[in-house]
Amino acid sequence: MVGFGRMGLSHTVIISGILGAENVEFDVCDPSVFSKRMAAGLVRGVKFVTLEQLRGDKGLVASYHFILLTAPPFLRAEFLALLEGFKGRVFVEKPVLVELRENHMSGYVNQHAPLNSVLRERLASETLRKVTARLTTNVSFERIKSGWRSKSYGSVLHEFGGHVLSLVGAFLPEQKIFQKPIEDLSLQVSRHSRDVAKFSFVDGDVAYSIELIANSSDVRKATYDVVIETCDDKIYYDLYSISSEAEKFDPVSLPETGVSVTFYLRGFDFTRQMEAFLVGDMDVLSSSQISALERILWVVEGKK
Amino acid sequence: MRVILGDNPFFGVNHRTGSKVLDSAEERFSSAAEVMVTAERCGVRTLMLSTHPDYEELLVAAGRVLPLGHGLEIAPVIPYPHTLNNSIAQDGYFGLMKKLGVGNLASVGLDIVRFMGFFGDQEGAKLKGAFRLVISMELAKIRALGFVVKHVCLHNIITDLLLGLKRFDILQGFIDACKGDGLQGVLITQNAVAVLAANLEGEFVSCFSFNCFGYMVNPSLDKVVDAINRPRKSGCELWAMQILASGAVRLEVALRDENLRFFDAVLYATTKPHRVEEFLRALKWRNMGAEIPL
Repeated sequence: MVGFGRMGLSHTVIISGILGAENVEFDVCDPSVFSKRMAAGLVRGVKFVTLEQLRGDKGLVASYHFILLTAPPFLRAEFLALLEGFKGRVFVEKPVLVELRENHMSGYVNQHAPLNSVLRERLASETLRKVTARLTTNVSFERIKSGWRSKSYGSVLHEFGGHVLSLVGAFLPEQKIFQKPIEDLSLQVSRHSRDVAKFSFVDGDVAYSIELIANSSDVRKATYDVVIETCDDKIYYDLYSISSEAEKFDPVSLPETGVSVTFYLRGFDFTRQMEAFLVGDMDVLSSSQISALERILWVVEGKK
Repeated sequence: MRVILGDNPFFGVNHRTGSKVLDSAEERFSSAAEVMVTAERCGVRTLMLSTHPDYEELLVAAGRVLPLGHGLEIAPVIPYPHTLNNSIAQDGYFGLMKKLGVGNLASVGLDIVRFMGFFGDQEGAKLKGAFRLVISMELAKIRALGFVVKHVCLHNIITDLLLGLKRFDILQGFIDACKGDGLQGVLITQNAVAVLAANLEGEFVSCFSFNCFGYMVNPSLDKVVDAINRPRKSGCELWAMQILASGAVRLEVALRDENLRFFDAVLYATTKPHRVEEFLRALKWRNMGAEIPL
C-alpha cells in the first residue's frame, strides 16, 4: 500500500474484509509519521518499507502479489516507473498523466456502480444524441490552502473529472467513447476554476457536456446527475436510479435490485472495484480509454 | 418489538434517490420536529441521531414543540463521518488530531499513543478512553437540551472498518466505554454476519440492514437469515434498519417477513408525521408493536 491516507486505509479494510484479515499481509510505504502510526494502530502485523527500499530491492517489489498506489497524484508516475517489469497487479488511485498497462487498474470507482449495466442494456437499442453529466459537491477546493491539494491537482477538475468521464464511458453501450485522438473531439471549455469546470466535446455522433461544481451547500455529499438524450427520449441517471421521460421503460432504483456485497465499507462500488482488482477483471474501460479521458482533463487544464 | 425513529431524511440522506438538493435547515428541522412530536405521542421512545454539525439545531427545534417532560431518548451516532472525511482529505490525519483539540487529546493521550504503537504495543489499546471522550462531548450537549441518552451508536463506517480488520478489541473498547457511562453501545454495521460472529462481551446492540429484497443485507440475505437464527448471547440485542429497503419494499410485504421476529427493535424514518402513525398501526395490526397508544 503506497500511501496510507484516506483511500489507502479504505482499500486496506475492504481487501481485508473480502479476503479475511488473517489471509492477507500488508506492507505500507508512506513517509508520514501519522500515517504510519495509524496503520500500526489498526492493521495487525503491518510492516513498513521505504521508497529507498523499493527503489533498491527488485526482489522485494517482485515479492508482492498486489501493489496499490494511493499516494498523492503527482507521485504516481514516479512509483509506476519503479514497477517496470512487475508481474503482479497494480491499482492506481487516479492515474493522472500515466499510461496504464495490462496489469494496471485505475481507481475510477464509478465504473463499478451496480446500475451501470442496467443502463447500458437499456441504451443498447437507442440512438444517442447528447449526454450531460454533472457532479456537485459541498467540498470547496478554493478553501484548501495547504497540503498537496492546494496545488493544481487539488481542483474539482482533477478530483472529479475522471470520475464523471469514466462513469459516462462505463454505462455507454460498446466501447466507442474515448477512442479518438483528442484533436478530433472539438473540445470547448466554458468555465474553469478550482471549484468549477465546464467543458464539452463531440465524440462520434454524440455531444457530451460535463459540469463539475464544488463548494455547493445544496448537497450533503458528492452527487452525480446524468441526462442522456436520444432521438425520442430523455433518460435520467444518478447512480441510485434510472428513469425515462417518455416512459419507454419502467424506472428502476438501486434498492429494488436487492444488491449486496461480500464486505461493505463505504458503497457497493468500492467493494466491487476491489473484487475486480483481486480477481483480475480490472477496469470496465480499456487502458487506452482511461488514458484518453485523462488527456481530455489535461487539455481542459491547459485552457485555463 | 420497539420502534426507533431514524433521522436520515432529516439530513437529506436517501438510499433510493441519492443525495439531492436539500431544503433549508429550518424547513427540514421544522418538519422533523413534527415527526418527533407524533412519534413521541404514539409511544416511540428513541430517536437515533447522527452527530451531524447541525444536530443541535434540530434538537432545539424539537424542544420547542415537544411536551414538557417528554422523555424522548436520543441515541447519538458517533462520529459523523463526513466531518472526519473532509478533515482528513483537507489536512491529513494530523489536521484531524488538531481538530479534536489538544486539550481533549491530552486527556486520552496515553490511549492514543499506545494505539499508534509508539510503545511498540502492536495489539494497541482498546481506545476506551478516547471513546469515552467523544461520547461525553456529545452527551453533555444533548442532555443540556433536555433529552435523555441511554444508547450510543458507533457509525457503521467505523464499526465496519474495525470488523474488516478484525479489531474486535477496539469494538470491545467502545462497548466498555458506553458501559462505563451507564449506557448501552450500539454497533451499526452493514456486515451483520461479521458482527454476530465477533467474540464481544457484555450488553450491546447490533443494528444492521434487513429487508426481504436483500438490499444492503451483506454478504447475502441467506447468510444473514442463517446468522440471526442462531442462538444469541444474553445481553445482545438486534435492531433492524432499512426494513422497507428505502421504499422499495411495501410496508405490508415487509411486515409479513417472519424473520423480523428475531429483532428487538426496528428503525423507521420519514419526514411525514402521518406515516409514523401508519407504520405503528401496521405493526400493531400484526401484533408486532408494543407500547403504541393509537
